[in-house]
Amino acid sequence: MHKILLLIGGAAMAWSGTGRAADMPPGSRQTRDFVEAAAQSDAFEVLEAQTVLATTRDPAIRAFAQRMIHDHGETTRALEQAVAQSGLQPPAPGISSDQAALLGALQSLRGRDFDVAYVRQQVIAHSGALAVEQLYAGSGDDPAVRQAAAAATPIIAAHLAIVDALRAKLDGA
Amino acid sequence: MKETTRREAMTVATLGAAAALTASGAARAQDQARPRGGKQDPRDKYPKPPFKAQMQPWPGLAGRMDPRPDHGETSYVGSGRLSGRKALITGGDSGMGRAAAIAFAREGADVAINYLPEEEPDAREVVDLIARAGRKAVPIPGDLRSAAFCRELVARAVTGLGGLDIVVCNAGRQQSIASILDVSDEEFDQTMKTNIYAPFWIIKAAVPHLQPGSAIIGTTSEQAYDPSPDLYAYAQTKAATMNYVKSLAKQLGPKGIRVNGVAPGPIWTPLQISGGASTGKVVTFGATAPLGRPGQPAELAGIYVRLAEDDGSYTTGNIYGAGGGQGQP
Repeated sequence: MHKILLLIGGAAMAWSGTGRAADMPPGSRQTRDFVEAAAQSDAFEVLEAQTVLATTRDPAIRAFAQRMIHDHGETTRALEQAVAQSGLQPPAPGISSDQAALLGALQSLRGRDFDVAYVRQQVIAHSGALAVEQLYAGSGDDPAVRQAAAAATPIIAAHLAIVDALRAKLDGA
Repeated sequence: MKETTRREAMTVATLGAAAALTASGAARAQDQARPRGGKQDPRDKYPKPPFKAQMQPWPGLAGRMDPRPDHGETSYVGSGRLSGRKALITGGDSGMGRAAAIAFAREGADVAINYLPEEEPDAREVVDLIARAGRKAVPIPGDLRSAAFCRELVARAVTGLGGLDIVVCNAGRQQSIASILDVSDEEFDQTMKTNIYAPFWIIKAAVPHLQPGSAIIGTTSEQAYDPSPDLYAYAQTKAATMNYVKSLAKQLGPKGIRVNGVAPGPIWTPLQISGGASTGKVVTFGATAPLGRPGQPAELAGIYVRLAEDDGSYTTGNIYGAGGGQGQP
């Protein structure tokens, strides 16, 4: 009985401090948050692209979606390698609750409304992803992950340029 | 949406903020910007994501946000709905508190605003706007995490205004932290003190001064009903706020005091760009809302007025929302 109480007391003491507990996952909060955000962003892009390929006939939008599946597969692998190299925990699978809301909204549309919504969401999602990658590439504290962010930045910037052009075309039509 | 439409909307918001700084300009812009009784497309009325990545140290200033939020500086037109009322608003320097302060003053109320000393630049603009509405402004800077200050705040508001009959507990602390493992005891405590203890201390000190017909309003959130994973600490305080509104409404109804809450969705305020949202979320802010953009504080001003005014006399224990199409209530 005493032993159990002592153990509980010890655990409570380990958690009561405001500093870093011994059983925290490896890596700084900045790095862990970035890895999670980048992985969610890749997963979101692939899920939206798979939805596009199952829904739309527009060849330009289909081509963009194919590229998303390919490129975000590559950035996911590069991120996984950096994470392994730095001894970090792999990111949890899945997308964020905000991304889930966007995906749900997209999947309820058909036809031209679908295309317009996809392209609009992609402009916003890539703008957010670009800001996140640029920030970590510039100030991240893990060298391998920083390198992955630096490599992903021009890829995402290129996607943003394409989708900006797609949006201009759709708005003009 | 067409690029020109977005640029125009942003220009209107920017011009609005600039015009607020000159008295005659404010009046003119007000006449031109929004004819009363007309209608506008809610999707195009204000800026949409993507926004510029931006981060300010807590608590952040509205004056340094890009685009500047609209608190109704040039658009809100009063019609005497709060004539002679005396209001205290915490967090009255920016965000929904500022929108309420401007609206209350233009509806004929004298207004005391509380804010953190770091927020003085935003607060000075609000004091000026209240004065230009011809009403008395009582600025009371200070940190709500102190019980002694909260009691002093109410005492100074009562003295400065010559009474008190509207209390808006609006100030809040919000920090986006992805993992509970990274939430420090200090951070959790700061959030609880600001969002839960302060309204308790303030309302407890205010109730003895509130005559029948008075109103208490708490700012809750869509987060009370559907919390985001990175807002573990903040979201539970908003659930508590929703709950205390209903409890106090039952307790104070028999004394003729109404208690209600406002539940905003994603609103463009300094709370978001000073740690309340991640960088990715700031850039995409409001994208999840069916209206496709974040709300502006000005779009909630009328709700605070409604809950405070005598015409809303049967509304108590209720939560009014402005969620852009998402969330509860």
